[in-house]
Amino acid sequence: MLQLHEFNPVNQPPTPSFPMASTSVVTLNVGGELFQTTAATLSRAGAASPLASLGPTPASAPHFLDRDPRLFALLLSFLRRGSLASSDPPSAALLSEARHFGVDAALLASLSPASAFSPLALRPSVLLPLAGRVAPSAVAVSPSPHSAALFAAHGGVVTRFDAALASRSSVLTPLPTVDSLVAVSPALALAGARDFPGVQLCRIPDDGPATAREVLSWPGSPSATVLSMAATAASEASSPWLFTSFESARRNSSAVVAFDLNSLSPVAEIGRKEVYGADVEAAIPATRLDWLDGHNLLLAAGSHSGPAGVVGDICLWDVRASTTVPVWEFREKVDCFADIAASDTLSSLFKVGAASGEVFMADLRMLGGGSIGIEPWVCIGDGQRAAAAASAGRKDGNGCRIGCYLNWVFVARGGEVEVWTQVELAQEAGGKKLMRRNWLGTGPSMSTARGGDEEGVKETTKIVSWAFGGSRMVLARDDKQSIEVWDSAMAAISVNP
Amino acid sequence: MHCWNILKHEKKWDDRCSSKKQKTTSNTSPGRSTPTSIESRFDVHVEALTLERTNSRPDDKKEKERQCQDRSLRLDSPFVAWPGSGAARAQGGARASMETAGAGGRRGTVKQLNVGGKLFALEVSSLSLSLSLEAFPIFVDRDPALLSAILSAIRAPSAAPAFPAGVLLDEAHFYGLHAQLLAALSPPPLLGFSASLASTLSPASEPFHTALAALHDGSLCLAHGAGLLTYYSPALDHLTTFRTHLHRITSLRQLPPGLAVAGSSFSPGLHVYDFLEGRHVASVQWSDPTDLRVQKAKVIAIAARPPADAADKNTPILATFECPHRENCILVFDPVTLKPIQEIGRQSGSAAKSSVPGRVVHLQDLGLVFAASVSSGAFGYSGYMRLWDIRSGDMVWETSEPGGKGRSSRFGDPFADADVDVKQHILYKVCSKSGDIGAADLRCLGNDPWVYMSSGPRGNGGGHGSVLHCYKSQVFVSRKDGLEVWSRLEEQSNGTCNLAEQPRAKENLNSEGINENCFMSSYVDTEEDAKRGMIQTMEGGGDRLFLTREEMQGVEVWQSSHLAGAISLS
Repeated sequence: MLQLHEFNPVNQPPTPSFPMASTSVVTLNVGGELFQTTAATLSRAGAASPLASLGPTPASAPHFLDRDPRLFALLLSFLRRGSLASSDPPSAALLSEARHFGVDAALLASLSPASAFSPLALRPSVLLPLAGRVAPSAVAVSPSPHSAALFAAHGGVVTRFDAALASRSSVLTPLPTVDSLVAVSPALALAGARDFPGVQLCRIPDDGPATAREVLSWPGSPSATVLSMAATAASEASSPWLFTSFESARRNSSAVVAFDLNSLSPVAEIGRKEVYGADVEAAIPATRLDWLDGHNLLLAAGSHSGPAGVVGDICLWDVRASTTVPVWEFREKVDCFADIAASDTLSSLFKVGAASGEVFMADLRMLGGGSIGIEPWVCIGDGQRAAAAASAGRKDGNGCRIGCYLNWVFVARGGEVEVWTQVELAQEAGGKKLMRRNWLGTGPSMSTARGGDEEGVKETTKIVSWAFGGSRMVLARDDKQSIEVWDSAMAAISVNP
Repeated sequence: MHCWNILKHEKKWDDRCSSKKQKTTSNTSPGRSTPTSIESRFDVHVEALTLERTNSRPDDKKEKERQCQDRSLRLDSPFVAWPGSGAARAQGGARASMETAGAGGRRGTVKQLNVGGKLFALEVSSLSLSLSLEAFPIFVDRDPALLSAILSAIRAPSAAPAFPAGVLLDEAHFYGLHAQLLAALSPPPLLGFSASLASTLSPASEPFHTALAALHDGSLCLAHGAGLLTYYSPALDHLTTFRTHLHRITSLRQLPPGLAVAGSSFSPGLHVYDFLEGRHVASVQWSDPTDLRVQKAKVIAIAARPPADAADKNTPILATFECPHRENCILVFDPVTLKPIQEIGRQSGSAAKSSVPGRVVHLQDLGLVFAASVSSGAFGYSGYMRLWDIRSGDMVWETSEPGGKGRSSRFGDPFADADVDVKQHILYKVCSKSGDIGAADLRCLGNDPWVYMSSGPRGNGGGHGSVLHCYKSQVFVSRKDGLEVWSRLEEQSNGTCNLAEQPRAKENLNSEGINENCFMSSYVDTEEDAKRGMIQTMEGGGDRLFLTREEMQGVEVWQSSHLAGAISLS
């Protein structure tokens, strides 16, 4: 056979700008097939991976790995490109091979990256059936640095689907039904119920059985029920926090409690409210929490529907500054919010009016310090209609939801989702920033236009819960025994019959 | 990816990239189509397997064997991949190539690449990857499966590639094989009489088309829903969808590279969007300081389609503007500065004869602008066609129907749509009542220049609601009962559809004018296709015909195909 020549990096002329250690060719013999790559490529597998320790070798003495070369070729291609080349979801064999090499987290995260999220390219891609007979009541997606694992709560069961949407695992919680669900990582979700005490920690590790043993509860009132939850983004500097809005079982006191999710201990009690006598409207508990990471602000909003109409209370808390006095507080009386959300990237609050159903926007930079009485909301929908609906006391916004993800604002109306995009005009044309509305999918006009004459007409039922994460939108619909996954898929060609 | 994110900002990476750039500039290979492709891709790692030239002298016998093998492989195909893989082969191949280069002076004809441990030999002209001066195979840390998929797609264009086209095209950019791969993935030349429905492009959200703009490379920009723009690459990959500030885009043109000109008949101004970044770039208004009534003019039609072979990239943009009180004109814009150059044919818009043109075509080589306006109602159709000199702004020729200046042989049969074939210099119209096609040679226009072509499988639909589109020297006419194409017989016999490339055909045309017997019409679609609805817009791009139907989602893509499309009966 051919004579092979010794490859000796020491004999190379030193190149100070590009050290040989990271550039040299690594030759691998995987199950009898030879692969050549660079140490830099292999180091992308992460320090914990067995691949990262393979140093440059002469071609005559390759590292031998006793693995399947076909699967290894796909993994090596993934390490080189940062994504899988083929459009099919990875097979279970490939995922377990990736787990062996310690790249499974990166592989799953690359399947649905947040950078590929484009709301106007979202189309329904997968229906995930759930076991049992209870329709899903809440869904969640684990946030961005992790892979976009899906959590769905149906009855007291929390089911997790991995980011490849290939495998699922379930855990039974003590709650009869789950009203709020927050995903912290692919291995941890938090479940709370409006009528039952405590936040249940659902741990679903990749290796080992799923458990739901730990409970977080309000130290001031251990029987308090959970109204809403919001988790902060995990960062290297600090452990993630969970904000939970509790209401005592007697419904006379409420507070937002912050928990450290690593130590599972309560850190702060924010904005405790007590109801004295019958003045319920003076202490409305927060039913909606949202965390603004870039501004370090917590949005806590609650509304109360009384005989005089809907009244709401919106607070912004800077947790580091004060836990008793909010940074900004606003009492809503006219066209109170049906749902409210905060967008970090747009630096704004958004609400759907309960009376009008129109979308309003409040710029965080224009709120001012505690000046109650100045109307912060600007209608970005039909302002005239909103005013007319508010004065007529209609309830068009009932059941609407609003949520923010990345640069977009989403509104669920019945079974349809609309998206608001910010469009910035060129400087010479005024440089104005406008909010523009579109429907996701065909929108409601199509369902009615095609009504009946075709068998393909899809009856869209009300959206019960939704979540955004990675490049996906996840919907749970009323009385549907499955969850709907919309993906901003790149494939747009539908081959005609 | 994470490591890459860290690495790319390292100084050494930049150093390396810049040093490589120097090398690439010093070496010019003919096949380079994308000079920045290598530097822009992150995974560039060109590493020569270290081989001392003195060490790599094998004995003569082995050398000869190698040479033979090498030569036979080279004769076989421009792209040769060794079936074996691995470092041993790579080094053996390296020596062979070096020896052949030294002996026969063939250095540079075949280049060897060690792609992730698999050896490929490629003809240098087909490869833009530089550093070809090294005799040993260049080590590239990339996926060999992708390169072999690219090569097999180029060799056998009809086979379905194993990877998504977008992934392959991305990878081909690195090797400089992008243009070749794109050509291999593109359909054969569009022949209307043998075209079939290939696919339907349907955007994800609000797939109700409002305007479309195709480019000669086969890419498509589609306006749909409430102010949405979707861009499809020349391989019809969905690249991007973004929202414009307009509520409904009714006229759209592409302005390469990467710009779209959009107008709306509902809100004023002509707007330029960068569709790769989804950003509003500029907007242009029609204003007249001497006439205060000219304001908030809306855009009705745009002409900005530079032909594929246009040497002059600065073809002006033409757009017809209409004020709320119907005053209208054609404005000529500079495509670079986006400033108005000239105003043509300003008119009051008070009558059908002075209403805003709904179609403008720029006849660049003649220096003319074709403008046509059609209005229809209970009374039937009426409209005008005009030719303007773009330099002087004077009207050169005009006809209006019904009852124009000239003595029309088809009085009472006004046209429903008109288009001009830019290459052939023929004006085509479709008559609204009879459905006949009229053709007029632009070089001998008179009072009644029309030659009517009445042969063909015309149904009972007449010309009501017809749309006419000239593309690749063929005339596509939509009717109530289907899509008809008129093609010329000479073209068919020569096997090419481009008349401009045939000098003889053009001579014939010059001497004889238009001979109605050399046009043949045939249906493009089937009856089932026609049942999906009336065709609303048609637009040719690349070797594809894009068409949209009323009340139908998405855009149909029609193209010729070499595939038989056999249907299995078992």
